Amino acid sequence: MSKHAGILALALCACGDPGQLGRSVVAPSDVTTHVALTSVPVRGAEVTVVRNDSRKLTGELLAATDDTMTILVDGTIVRLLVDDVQRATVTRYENSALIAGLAVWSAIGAVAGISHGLLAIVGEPIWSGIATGALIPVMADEARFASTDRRWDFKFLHEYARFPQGLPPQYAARARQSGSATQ
Amino acid sequence: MRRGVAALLLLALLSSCSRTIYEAHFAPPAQLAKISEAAARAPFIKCHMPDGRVFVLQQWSIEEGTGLVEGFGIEYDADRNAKSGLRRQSLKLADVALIETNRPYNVDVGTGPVIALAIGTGVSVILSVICLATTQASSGGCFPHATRALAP
Repeated sequence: MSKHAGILALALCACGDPGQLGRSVVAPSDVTTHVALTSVPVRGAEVTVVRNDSRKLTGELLAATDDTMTILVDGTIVRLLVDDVQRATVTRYENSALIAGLAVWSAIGAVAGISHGLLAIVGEPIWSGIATGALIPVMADEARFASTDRRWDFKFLHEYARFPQGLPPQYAARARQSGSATQ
Repeated sequence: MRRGVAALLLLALLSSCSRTIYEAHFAPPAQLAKISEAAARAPFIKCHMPDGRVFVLQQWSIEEGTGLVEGFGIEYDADRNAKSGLRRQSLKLADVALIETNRPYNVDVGTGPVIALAIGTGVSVILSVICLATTQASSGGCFPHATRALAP
């Protein structure tokens, strides 16, 4: 009993909402009113940019305009011309902890299946099927991303930026000082 | 008692397998009418200032007549450090660069898989108990070879 309660507790931790970012228009499926003011995200979403030379860059989206996007990468401000970008992907929410939790649960279940003795011959394939069926939809959940590879659609990014109103002067100055502008 | 604890754990697990995302609409103060419908159902608004500060407000109101935005909320600087605790805030609409409405939604990301694994785990536990019981009853059960080997 305590073993299975432990498995549930482990999965519970994995499912915990880390307060991820992500702002977009979604179907009105389940409006929640139990969100604390301090949980409302005030930083930009994580964006992964694939440049024309196939190099990838991941950081916090600070600002996006029709022709540039500005990203904070490890404390350095990087400004990219939209023409230099092949693809931009925003992470709306994370589920890697959930995937890890389900994978651990599946593995423990498979090991525990040994206690079924001869019945494990039937039970293990069934458990494998259940575990695979549980993991695949979570791993294949593309809804956690918002992406586009069409440059004229990059303006959608501004709603995920820390500064949707545009880069404030001190950040624009930092971008110039770091010499990383328009890399 | 144990069943109750397990049920509570499972309930907590299921309810925690969701992610909160935000429906957001944007408008500069001069074009508030663009977001009036979205604003009517948004519990939070953010007032983005030209210098990068942002005020996150709840129980908010915008009085176009007096040109004031009021509500309870927190002021963050451009680096997103909280400059104030939760308190009543009053801003001049003319000082705001952009207004953003935020309406939180829960998105289910793992309830189905968790239910499937929970059912599978439940069946597995029952099988384990049956195997243990039948093996202890010396009838062979799930481990006939082991039982034979242990037999005197």
